[in-house]
This record gives sequence, structure tokens and C-alpha cells, in this order.
Amino acid sequence: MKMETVIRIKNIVKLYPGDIKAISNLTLNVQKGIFGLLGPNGSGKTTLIQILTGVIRPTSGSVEILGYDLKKQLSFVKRDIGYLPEYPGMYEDMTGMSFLHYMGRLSGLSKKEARNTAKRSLKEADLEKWEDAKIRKYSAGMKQRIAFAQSLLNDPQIVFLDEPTKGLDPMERQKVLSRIEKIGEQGKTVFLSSHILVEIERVADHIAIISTGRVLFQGTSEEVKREDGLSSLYGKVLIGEGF
Amino acid sequence: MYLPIILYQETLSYLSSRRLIFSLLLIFIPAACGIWFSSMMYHHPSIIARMTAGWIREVTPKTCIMVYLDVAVFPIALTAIINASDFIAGERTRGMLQLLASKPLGRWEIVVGKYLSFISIFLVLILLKLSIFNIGLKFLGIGPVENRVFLSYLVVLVLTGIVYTSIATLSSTLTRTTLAAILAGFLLLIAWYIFDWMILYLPVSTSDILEKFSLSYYIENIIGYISKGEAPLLLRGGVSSKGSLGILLKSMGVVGCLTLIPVAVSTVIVQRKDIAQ
Repeated sequence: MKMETVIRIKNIVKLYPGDIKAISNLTLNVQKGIFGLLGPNGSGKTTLIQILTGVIRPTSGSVEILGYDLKKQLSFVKRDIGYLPEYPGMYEDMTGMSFLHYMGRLSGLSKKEARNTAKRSLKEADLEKWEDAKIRKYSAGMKQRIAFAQSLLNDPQIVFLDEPTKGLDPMERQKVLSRIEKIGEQGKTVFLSSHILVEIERVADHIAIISTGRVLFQGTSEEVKREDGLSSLYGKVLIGEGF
Repeated sequence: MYLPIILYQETLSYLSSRRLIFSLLLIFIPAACGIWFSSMMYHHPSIIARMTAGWIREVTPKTCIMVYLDVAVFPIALTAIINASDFIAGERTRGMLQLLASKPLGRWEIVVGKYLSFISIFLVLILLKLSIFNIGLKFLGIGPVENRVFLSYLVVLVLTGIVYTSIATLSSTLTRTTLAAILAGFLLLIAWYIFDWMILYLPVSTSDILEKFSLSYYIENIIGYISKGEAPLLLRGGVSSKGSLGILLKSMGVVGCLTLIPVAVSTVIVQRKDIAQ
């Protein structure tokens, strides 16, 4: 079966001030489905996601998302993607409803669409009863759920999730993972970054391991299974890199 | 175009937040003090003559508003700095800047939306402040001041507020935290205040050159023309010239640049620079 490539990353390099190389000539193709990006801390996962979501610009190289050139057609790309940052920001003085409504408006929805989508998203996030409560009163798990909900408001084709289970208790983690699986079943692409192997192993159809801004492994979940599972493969790959 | 959405949301957030209460306090407490102080001046004119080293001998509504304004400019500038310092640095601290940058809006719209929203609210607050003071003078039997003078002093507060909002917008873009941005703006405010007072005590030949670096010099030129020399600034020694159209245009140009350049630089920086984590 031929898989549809939704993201084509070619030779991207990202240098931070002081010539610190965060991404080093990285080339990667991402197919439709749930894509798990693994790597140790400081491997460039967040930088890569920030480049793909237009938050930062690559120093060189090219990226194509859903057929759009990221550099030239960034606004088209942004209409079709959702993003959950590693440390999602919130307007804590806003209610859950007004926050989602505002984010929906900024994602290109009309007033009516934004209101309806916000209501639906709150229901899906199990926050219906809290829609009029200020976000500052939410628990960490609730905040994460509302941040996740905002990334799906515009019905994106690709959702970028940067460590979405960070700081959550086991119950909340399960909820997030189930949500990710559900999105994958809807035929959308989830670009999931994490360093928790079991989570990636559970949900991802395709996996890539990166370190120091380079791709060390890329394959399907079946290929990973053939290598005695993800933890074995992850160990082998990183040991080969001197970890 | 996402600017109207940001403008609306920012205005709504401001009006329903604690920032509004803080701004109201910063603005209306000096107004109340000003009314009380004017009343005291009116009944004890010798106090003000002593305080101003004889510049003011006769207490009129105009002199009351002039002295009041001298005090009122400071909280106006401070309110502008405190609020505008949060524009970008605050979003960065809250972690919202990354999220906003991933949305299809132009990043410049964040800066301009926040700026315009605050300026609109600020103008209403300033108008209220001066109006309350003017009404207060009327009740005390001192005033009110004539329209031309009232308008001139309104222009002083508005221009001061706008310029400091612009400068604080830039410092908010350049710094990582709101506190650092406030500190930078506050230091500039103090430096400009000290500079203005220092100029008063310098020989005319030196002060004629140095005053070109003072914000109040240009504001004084503008209101000097509007009020036909009837609205002096105590900060500038309480002496006002009528000014000419040429000086007015030049001064408006300088104040315009001080307003627009920092905002323009901020929008370019936010638009082009990577959003730091």
C-alpha cells in the first residue's frame, strides 16, 4: 500500500545564536497517520516542531507540508495545522469557553463556527461543566486538555503535539493517548514528539528517532517490532551514537 | 485580517481585568489629589508661590491645572509603561506567543492589536481624568478652565501617554519579561524627568541645545501653538511661547516619530524574529 506523504523535510539546518546547531541537515518524510518522533532531551524535537509550525524559521533547507512550501505559503500551512506546544500558554483570566472561542477565531473560524466548535471541544475534553470557570481554577490535567482542544479547533489535517503527556498523571495520560488514537482513526496526521517509549509504541504507525538534530532511525511500527520492540531499538540506536 | 479580533478581545480582556482597576487608581488618585491641592493653593496662594520659587504668583484655574498636570503626567506615563510592557513580554512569559505564532494571523497584528486597544482605552481614561479635575475645580469655585487651555493640557497627557506606550511596546519586544520591560521604561521616564528639570538650571545657551532632546520641549511647542501661549508647562519652567506653524509641524514630526518608530520596530521584530521558548 502506497502511503501518502504529508510532510517532506529536506536538508534543514537550524542554527541558534552562537552557531549552536539544533538541527543538522535533517531530511525526513512523514506519512499520513500517527508519526512518533523520539529522541533524548536536547535532540532537536521541539526545534523541529517549531520549524514545522512556523514559530521559528530554519536557517537553510526546505519543508513542504500538505503540498505547500513552508517558506512561501506559511499562511496556507497554518490554516491546516494544529499545534500543542510543550509548555502550552493560557490566558488564565479567561474562561475555558472564551479561550477556545478566541483561539478558534484566530484559527480562521467565523464567530458562529468558533462558538459551536468551542462548545463541542469542551464536551470532547470533558470540560463542559467548567466552560464558564476561569482557566486559573483548572487542574494541570484540565489545562492540558483545553490546550489540546485548542489545537483541534480548525479541524486540522496535521496536529503537532510536543510532549502532550508531560506532567500528567497516569489517568490523564491514558485520556490523551486515546484522544490521539481517535484523531488518527479520523484519517488525520498526528506528529507526536515524546521521549516516553511506551506511549509512542502504543499509538504511532511510523517512528523516527533523532539525536543532535539528525535522523538516526526511521521506519514503521512493524519494522520496530522486528527489532525486538522500541526500547531495544532505541537503546541500540543511541548506543551507536555514544549515549 | 485578524486585527479586529485581537483588538476586540484585548479591549474586552482589559475592561474585565484587574489591570483596569490598577489603571483607574493610578489615574484617579492623582486627580483627587489635584483637586484637593488646587483648593489648598486657591485658599493659600503663598504656598504655591513658595513651591514654584515665584514663577506662579497668582492662582487661577489655569495655574491650578498647570501644577496638577505637572504631577499628573508622571502617573499617566507610568500607567502607559506598566500596561504596554506586558504586550509582548507578557505573552512570552505566559507561553502564548508560540501558540499565537502558529495561528494563521500575521504576528504584527498581535503588536498593533494590543497597542491600538490599549491606546483607545487610555484616551478615554485621560479624558475622564482631566474632565473630573475640571469639574472638581468648578465645584470648588476655582474654575473651570477655558476650552482652549483644557484642550491643550489634554493634548499634553494624550501625547505623553502615547509616546510612553510606544516606547514601552518596544521595550516589551526587546526584553524577556514584563518586569524587565517596566524597569527599562521606568528608567527612561525618570531620566527624561531629571533631564527636563536639569535643563531649567542650565545657562540659556546650553539649554537651548539640550532641550531638543526633551520630549516636553516638543509637546510644549505643540500646545503653545494650540493655546496661543496660554498653556505653559511647569516642567518647562512655566513659560510658554505661542510658537509658529513651522515649529508646530516640526514638533509634531518628532512626537510622531517617537510614537511610530518604536511600534514599527516592534512589529518588524515580532514578525521576523524567531519566537524564543
